[in-house]
Amino acid sequence: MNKMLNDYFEKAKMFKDETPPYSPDELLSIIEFSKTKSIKSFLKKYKGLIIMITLFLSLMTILFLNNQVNDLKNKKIEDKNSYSMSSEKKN
Amino acid sequence: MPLQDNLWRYCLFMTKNRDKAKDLLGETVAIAYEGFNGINEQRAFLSWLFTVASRIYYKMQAKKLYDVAEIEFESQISSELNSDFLTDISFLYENLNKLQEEQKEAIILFNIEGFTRKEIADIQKVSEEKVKSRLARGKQKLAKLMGVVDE
Repeated sequence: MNKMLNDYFEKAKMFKDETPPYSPDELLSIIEFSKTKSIKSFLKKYKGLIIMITLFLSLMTILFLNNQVNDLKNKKIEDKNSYSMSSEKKN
Repeated sequence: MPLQDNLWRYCLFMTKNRDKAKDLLGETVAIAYEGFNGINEQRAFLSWLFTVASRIYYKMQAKKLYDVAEIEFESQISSELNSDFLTDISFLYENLNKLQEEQKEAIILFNIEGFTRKEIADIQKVSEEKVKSRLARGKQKLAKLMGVVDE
């Protein structure tokens, strides 16, 4: 290889900037920012799936509550019927 | 971060501008953090870090984000090295920037950062033969530009 060119490369290898662009604290804050960014990008990526799961869970909750209400209603009717039957018997 | 010096030198040589180099370094660190857990070997991490930096650089280059006025190398850095030394590095830096981007990057990675041809091939996503030819042609052109052609 060209010796003179090699000398230039050797000098470039020794080059070190005495004022590095980021202090360790600044690097940490970049990493912290990256964490927030990755959470945001995760939410953005799986937005559709998250909406689907939320809708599914909402639907399940509605069905469950609806069932509970129906059960209560039926129980109430049964109670009413048994009360009227027993009062009829008494009469 | 002990690797910061190497990566910073690469960013500075590639972007030709301290502010842009700082952006490139910051973005590389941020992206590198996300994949940090998957890499155990230090050499693999180093190679992967430069791959990330290289991809970001070319992506930004395509968006013309690094298309800024070139700033004189010596005015952007502070170093304890003597001024003759810095003048030589500055001369190399100016002439490297006259080469094709891929040739410049291959030379920086091989001759300054000490990567192997195989590692450069992985970073640049080309074959080893292609890296060899980029290095040979780039160095030939660089020697001509710098007036250091062997007789």
